[in-house]
Amino acid sequence: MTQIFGNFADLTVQMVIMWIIGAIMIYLAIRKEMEPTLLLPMGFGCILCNMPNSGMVHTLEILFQAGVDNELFPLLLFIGIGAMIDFGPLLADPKLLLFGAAAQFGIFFTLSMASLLGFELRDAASIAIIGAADGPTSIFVAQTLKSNYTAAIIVAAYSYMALVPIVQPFCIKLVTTKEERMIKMEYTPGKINKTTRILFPIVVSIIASLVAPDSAALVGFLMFGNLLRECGVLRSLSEAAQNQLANLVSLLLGLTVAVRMQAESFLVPETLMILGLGLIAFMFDTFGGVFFGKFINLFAKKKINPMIGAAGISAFPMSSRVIAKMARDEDPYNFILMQAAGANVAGQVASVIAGGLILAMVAPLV
Amino acid sequence: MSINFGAFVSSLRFMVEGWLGIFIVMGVIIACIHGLNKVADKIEEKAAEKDA
Repeated sequence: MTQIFGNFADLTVQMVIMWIIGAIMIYLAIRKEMEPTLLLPMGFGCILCNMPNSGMVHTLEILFQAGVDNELFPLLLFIGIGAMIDFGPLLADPKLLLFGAAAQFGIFFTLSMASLLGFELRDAASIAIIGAADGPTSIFVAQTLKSNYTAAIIVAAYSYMALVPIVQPFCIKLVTTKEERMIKMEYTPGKINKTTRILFPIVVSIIASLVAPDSAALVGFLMFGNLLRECGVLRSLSEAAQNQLANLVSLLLGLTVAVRMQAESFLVPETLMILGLGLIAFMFDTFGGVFFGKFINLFAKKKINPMIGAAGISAFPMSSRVIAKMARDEDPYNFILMQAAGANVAGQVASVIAGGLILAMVAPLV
Repeated sequence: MSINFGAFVSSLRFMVEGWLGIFIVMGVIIACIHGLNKVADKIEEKAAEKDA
């Protein structure tokens, strides 16, 4: 009897709270379809890792060291993501890249806010990168900087990515007028030839590696995935990267990260602060993009809809869809999906480069 | 954990350098895309001439 029920004595209230958190993640994944590939395994892993004397912890710790500690999983995931991205809308209108840059404002603003709240520089930078709206980049930066709050950062990063349809419309409406949201934009797609599509990932990798050497792995794996897609001779590999590789790594990543969600390290006041700062990062990304659009409108002959600036985050394609829907809600004949998609893809590139720049600036100091 | 105004002030450097840095990198990439488009157009023109 002692062997069967002995474990119950080691059960704590904190563990039960973590079960509830795990259950909420599973609920959000299944019922609300919020990032299910990640939240479902994370939720399940969270429950199992918070059992008294859980054997799951040892197993997942091995996986964590093999795949997250050395940044292998996020980088492999980047190959899959790169293979999924069509840079076409961006190559047709390259100036949209500037919106990707503008919408990274939240990252740097949050770095300052986290520093103000007393987080160490390594943690402040890792928390700030939640604003990249890019899970693998968040994991990569947090792990490289050896942050003490990796799990909370990952949970915040993926949770807010899933909350883009709620957070962004609220922020956009806060800083735009109805007239601005109704601005129509002409779409004249430029001709993109195959050579440009093939050379683009190679050139971006070289530039990013020269400017921020720490981003070489991040950008390189993303762009390698894209090269697989665009080269035209490795279709089956490209499909494998988009489907099997991305799915498998997401599954392992979700389960593995759960090992850092043990009650004693997760249920601390800092976790709540990180969730709050993550929200600030997302909000200020949106503000940064929208205000940049307004700034451009001060000089541009053809006005742009400032909402597309908000799509300059990495949450693809969710953000561009949200922006396009907002435009249609204001005026059913206002179609800005392609411009928003271009800005959104720019956000993918910019967020990875932002991660590299953060590493280049902060890593030597910690 | 407490308010650290000194750390906040020194972190403003990252805000300026980092955000500006992304704009510079993006500017370089935009220039490269324009260059790539021109080079690629010429390559395709030559290929079309050869085919003709």
